[in-house]
Amino acid sequence: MPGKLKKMIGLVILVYAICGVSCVGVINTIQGEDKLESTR
Amino acid sequence: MSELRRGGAKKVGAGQTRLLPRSRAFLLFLLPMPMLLLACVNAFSSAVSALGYAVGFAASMIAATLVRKGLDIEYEANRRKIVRRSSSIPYKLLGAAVLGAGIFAGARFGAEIAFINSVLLGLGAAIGSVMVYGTDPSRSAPDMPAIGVTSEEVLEILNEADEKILAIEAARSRIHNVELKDRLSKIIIGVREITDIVEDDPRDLRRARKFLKVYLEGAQRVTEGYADTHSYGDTGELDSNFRSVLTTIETVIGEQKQKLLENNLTELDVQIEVLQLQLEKEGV
Repeated sequence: MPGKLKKMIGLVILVYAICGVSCVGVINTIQGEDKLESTR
Repeated sequence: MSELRRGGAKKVGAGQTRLLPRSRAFLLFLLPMPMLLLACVNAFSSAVSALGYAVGFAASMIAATLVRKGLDIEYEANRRKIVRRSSSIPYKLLGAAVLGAGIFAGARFGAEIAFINSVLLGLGAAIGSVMVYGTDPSRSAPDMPAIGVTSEEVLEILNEADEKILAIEAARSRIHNVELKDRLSKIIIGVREITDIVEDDPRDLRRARKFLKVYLEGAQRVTEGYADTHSYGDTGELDSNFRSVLTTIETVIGEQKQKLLENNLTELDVQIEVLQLQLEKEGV
């Protein structure tokens, strides 16, 4: 695999993994607040 | 000034230099930032989640620092023609492992993602880090001809010489006399030629060691001293003394270069003679 392609794929995986956690966290936090609102 | 720059520069052709691209792993510091925010937001609603994000963020920052350290070591190893024995700690791999663990903690306990998916995300982050930033350079001892000094010693002397050159450059920029500035530029170029000769063939270090250690330090001290004091007022005598010192330094540099080049020629002469004798004796 050429070095640049390997780097690009690695970058996509890295960004997906780190940002994925943050995105799910943001969604969870919003949903949690919505649930709290509806309970009230 | 640009032609005098050395730090991080690599020779690519006759007289040409370019700066090596230096990756500083900014992405690893930047991407986990939302986790810090999420840790703060969740601190009031879910302590476990907040802790998970905090651990994930802290581990990611530690990982980024480790990867950066690994990149710095690799950069330093690649900068010179002589290969340095690399660090015994695999910083980049360690950083990737810590990042993987941090992302797992953030995913599993912070974002409450299923265990297997969290493991996959952690693995993805670790593998991605290795793919982007690479692995650590080889730890084996570099090849070095038997010259009585190790590559570490050669690199240490060359790095010290570089520091002295940079100090002379800094002092030069504080001097306003154009003639003296030009002479100092030529001196710096001459010294760099000598360090390049030593870098190309470390066997020359034996002959250039005194110059690089003692004379260069003297030149640095004198130049800095002149740069510090010449602006205080009437410096007629100081100027003439400094000029005579510069002349001496120029002469020493010229002699040193000549000595190194002559030695290379002598070595070549000896090699030719040996080959000639061998051919005459053994024939084809």
